[in-house]
Amino acid sequence: MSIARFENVVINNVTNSINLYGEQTTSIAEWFTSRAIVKDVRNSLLISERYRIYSDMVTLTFNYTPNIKQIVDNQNLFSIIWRGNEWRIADTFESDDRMKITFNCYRNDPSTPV
Amino acid sequence: MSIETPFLGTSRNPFNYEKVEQVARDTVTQWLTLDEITQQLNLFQDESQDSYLNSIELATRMAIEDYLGMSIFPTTYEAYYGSFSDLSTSQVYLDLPEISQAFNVQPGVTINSVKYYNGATPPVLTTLASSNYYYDASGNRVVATGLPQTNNTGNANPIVVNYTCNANPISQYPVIKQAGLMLLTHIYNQRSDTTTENLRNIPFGVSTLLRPYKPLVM
Repeated sequence: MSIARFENVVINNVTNSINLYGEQTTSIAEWFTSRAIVKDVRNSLLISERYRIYSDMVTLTFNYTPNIKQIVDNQNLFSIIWRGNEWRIADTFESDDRMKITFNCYRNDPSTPV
Repeated sequence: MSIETPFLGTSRNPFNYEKVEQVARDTVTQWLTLDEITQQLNLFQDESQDSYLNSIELATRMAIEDYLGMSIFPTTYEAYYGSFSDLSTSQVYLDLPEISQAFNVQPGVTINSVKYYNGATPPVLTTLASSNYYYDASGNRVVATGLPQTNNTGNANPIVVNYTCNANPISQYPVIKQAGLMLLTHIYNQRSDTTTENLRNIPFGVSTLLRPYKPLVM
């Protein structure tokens, strides 16, 4: 059996607010580090008339802990740094035996002119 | 069990204790550190389960102590020895059922007391002066003199040795700690007593790692 692909990740708190000028602000602060089983790393490209849009997807599986459950309950308030990039949590799956939680995470690279 | 000569007179096989009780055990001190555990479980700084991890760490340590028959942290026992008479002039040898290894010039075992029930009615539990006995590490036994000529023969086991197995050096062996982490991972992953499918042991698992350290009981 191969070695399970556990990789280091950082869980961030994401706070959205509106500043004095009415602008939307987002602040990101590290909450804790952990390790996740990494699966299904996919990069995809969408070419529109003027831009190339790269979007990446990865599946991260964690042990079911109180902190991770908190992320499931409020997935908009957290992000994950993996391989130096910041990923937003799109989908969450709790295993039926409450032992694992899986996140589908997405990120977009900057769009590039065609 | 009938008592035959030479009882309490020479080293015997099997040991000459009749009964043993665990009377005190360390159920608080952490053996595997939280850092080691969170590394093993890939939790790292996720501290939201620390109190649960501490509790299964204690269960893991006790399971390994019970498997090895040796204490990782101090454990106190009372061993009981059978009826006898007319031993006032001779040494008696009281075999200890559980012992620990000597470490850093500290003996593996501390004898807390040797007591006996005297011949009064009702019998009185009497403490033998500490100058009348010593621990013989070479034979895992207490050598005692000065027990009275008249002992209580109504009590099934009138001699009581209270002793503590001290902390064991093997607790710091990497192989023992690795066995502990593997067992802890199993307990962490298996929260239920039943599964829908058969689990299989891996080669070189917990019992393989621990087996060479299990004292041979003769």
